[in-house]
Amino acid sequence: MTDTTAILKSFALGSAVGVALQVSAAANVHFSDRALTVLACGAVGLVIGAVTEWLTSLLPIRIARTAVYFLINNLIAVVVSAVVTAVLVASASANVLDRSGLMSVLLVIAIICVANLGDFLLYRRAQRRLHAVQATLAVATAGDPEQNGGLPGG
Amino acid sequence: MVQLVCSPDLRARLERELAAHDVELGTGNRWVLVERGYEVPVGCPAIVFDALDFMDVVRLLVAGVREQHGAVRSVVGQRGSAFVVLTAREVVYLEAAAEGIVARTASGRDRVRGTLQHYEVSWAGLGFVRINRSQLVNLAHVREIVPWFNSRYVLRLAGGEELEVSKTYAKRLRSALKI
Repeated sequence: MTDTTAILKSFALGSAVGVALQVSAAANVHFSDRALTVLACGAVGLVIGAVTEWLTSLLPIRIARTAVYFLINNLIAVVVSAVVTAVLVASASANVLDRSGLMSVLLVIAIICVANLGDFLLYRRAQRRLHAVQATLAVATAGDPEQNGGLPGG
Repeated sequence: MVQLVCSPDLRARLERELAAHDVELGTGNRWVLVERGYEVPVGCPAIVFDALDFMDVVRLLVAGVREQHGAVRSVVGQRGSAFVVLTAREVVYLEAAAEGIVARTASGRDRVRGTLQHYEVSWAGLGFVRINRSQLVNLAHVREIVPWFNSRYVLRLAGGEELEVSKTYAKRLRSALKI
């Protein structure tokens, strides 16, 4: 089962990349072209998201480890995004290895890394929330005789 | 424990009504029922009522007692031919197995009566969250929440065991943790 939310997030991230790429674009570009670029980037993000979701759905959950998750997540996102961006830059008759082409690829990778960093911060927040809930539960049951084998506070 | 501060006539009626509903009377000062016009004791919660409304007070108390009894925090488990009393806190998770509902504790597996849905409702306040169609986990025993792809999670428990949180029930986990 694919996760449409994650695919839509990829679209949003792709659009964000498109907006960021406008910074390095020429100043005399028409607004409609800029909007088209952002939408195209969003569409690329959508495709990358769909491919990533499909690939990761094949991974067995028995290998689930925090480090494995973040490694695979970042690796797939960075590699796929870098390849797709390089192909797009090359197909636009530009040289990937020149300064602006390389900058575009690096910008995309940087944005992907920041998004993954955000994902990691959410993970840390979840652990903190878990510990907070556990502390609340411990306090709630500490004075409960039934929870302490009949001994109040025991 | 309920203490009464009222006229002798009303006391007799209240004692009769409360005894009929197994509400304990005494001076433990957990709750005090005070008839209007009498002095309210200091240092304990009190319900002040008019003599004419004494049956409303009885109903209020009985409803509270029933609610407390509804949240049973222990369960009788069966392991082989032996029966053990398990408190909610020591249950790591509950699962629907072939032999019925099984409570997993640090010391083993015990068959318990009831349904997962029953425990999901009555033990929700004790940190029990449904994580997939057949398992209900006690958050107090979760050591780590491992994120996984396709909106799934794996819960690593204190004993090293791992449970999968399905995509359908991941929302409930996030809601329970407010994340």
